[in-house]
Amino acid sequence: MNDATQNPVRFGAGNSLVGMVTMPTQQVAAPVACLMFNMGANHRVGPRRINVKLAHALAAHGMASLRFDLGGVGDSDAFDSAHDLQTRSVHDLQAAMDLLESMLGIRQFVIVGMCSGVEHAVSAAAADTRVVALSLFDGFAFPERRARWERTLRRALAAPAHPSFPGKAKRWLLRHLTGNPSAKPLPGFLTEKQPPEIRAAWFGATMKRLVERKVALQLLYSGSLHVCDRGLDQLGALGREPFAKALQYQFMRNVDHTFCTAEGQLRYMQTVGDWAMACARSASAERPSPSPCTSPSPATAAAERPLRGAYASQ
Amino acid sequence: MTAHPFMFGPASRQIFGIFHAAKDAQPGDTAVLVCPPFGQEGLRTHRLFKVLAERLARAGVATLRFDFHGSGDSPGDETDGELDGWRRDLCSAHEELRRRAPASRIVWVGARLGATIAVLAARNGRCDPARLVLWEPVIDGRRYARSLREQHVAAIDTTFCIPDLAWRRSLAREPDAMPEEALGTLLSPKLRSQLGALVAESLPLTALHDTLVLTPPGDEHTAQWAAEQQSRHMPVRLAYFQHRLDWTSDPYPNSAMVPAGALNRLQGALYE
Repeated sequence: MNDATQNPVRFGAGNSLVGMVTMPTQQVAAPVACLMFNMGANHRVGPRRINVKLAHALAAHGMASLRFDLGGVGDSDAFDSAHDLQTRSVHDLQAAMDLLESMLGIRQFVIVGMCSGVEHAVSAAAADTRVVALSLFDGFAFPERRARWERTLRRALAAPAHPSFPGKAKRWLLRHLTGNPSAKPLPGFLTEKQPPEIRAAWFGATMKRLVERKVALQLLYSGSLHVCDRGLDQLGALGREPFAKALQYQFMRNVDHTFCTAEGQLRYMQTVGDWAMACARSASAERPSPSPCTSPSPATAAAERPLRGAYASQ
Repeated sequence: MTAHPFMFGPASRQIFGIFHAAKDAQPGDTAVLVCPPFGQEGLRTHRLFKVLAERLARAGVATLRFDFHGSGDSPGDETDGELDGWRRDLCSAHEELRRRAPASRIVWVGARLGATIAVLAARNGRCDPARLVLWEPVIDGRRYARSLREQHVAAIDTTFCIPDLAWRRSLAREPDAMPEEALGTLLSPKLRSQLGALVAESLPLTALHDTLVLTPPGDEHTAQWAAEQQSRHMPVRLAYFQHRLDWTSDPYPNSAMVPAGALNRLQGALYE
């Protein structure tokens, strides 16, 4: 692979974070870089190594990237224990931006967040104006009654003939009838659970502010987790808000939540890669010198405070 | 003690490694080179080997973890992956560890296909491990490929509400076909061919090092291979080891990522 050079790095508070900077070799790096990090407990390479593959593809098109482990995940040490998970994640993402700024002079960033990482990515974008674009995969979803019913109906119709139905039925019975604690999912895997209405309010308000700030937003939803979609279904009532018109929304029917197939990986990388490069071109044309991170007003600070446990596993 | 991430190896084939320096190292101490499994199994065991390396470093054992070319953080495409190149990667990693822990007795801890590559690499004489610890080595390439296919089909079935049954039908129609992809990792034509030819007879151990094989009770195939090596008077010992690690699953609640039993067993395997 001659299109990129790789630089392992330690950075952040106490040099506790481990990451890999990938830089293009055939051309000058774009003025926007990409940040990638953990999805759940997967280390920085991402599920099925998707972050590495995306980093190589972006480098071939001239975009530098940093993939790294949040504190306490993968190879990174848990240095900061004074704050909650969400605040720590924002600090880690800001440290990643600081690193690329000092290494490459880049001051605009695309953050790619997946699953549990979506909440961290959104919180970092809300807190730091260096973020000019967010790609969010299988994150916040608030389907309304019709979409939920359709999903449930499709699942129910498919269940009897589904090869894994016996195993799933057994686990469901264990969980609901026997009270077997080992069959119960842990509460809020890597996050804390919050009521849906609180999550929706925070997500809607934050999306609105980001759109007003002209942050490009891409929302992607996998077919394996969400089953069906008739257009903005996963946003529920938020899909009717004016800000929703500015979102790049895509339901990816043949892509599964952890990119198990080569076809799914290719579709995801094409979608995110093309969009990130377009964002880089647009951002460099429209925002040649974005203002560095500034302290928000107290009212804004309160509104932009990261939501603790805004994401709940689905 | 902070682990040090770095690149090493020839310029044309750089490899990512992470070195855990030993606390209070003494000349003659043991150092460990971790040989990770292939594909999803490698991703699944990342955290386990990270914790093992930290534990070993605290106990005075320098440890180097690395990713084979085209896997993990190392450069390269999955379509470049094949056993001969990975064997050379392992020897590069051995030389790098020897450079960082010059007076140490080096033990290779390999899991699954990483253990198989360790056996192949130890035979060429270019590197000099004192001991191989082989955790569920892949002895039969075709059997392994089939198991990857079965796990792939199971993952598709589990994740999709309406799965693409073409995967399952293909498995039923041609159960012995070598897969082009499995659990999100591509298998190069050369790797498929090498796995197709990988049998117990192609994995003779040498007397240059001693070997401990860890395998679950009931794995007669591996036990038979180990017995054959013993009959050739090779210094090899088989130990049965049951653990809770699911080699191919995604991380999910209630699925152990770092089973304490596996940590203890691997640490003990360095000396027994």
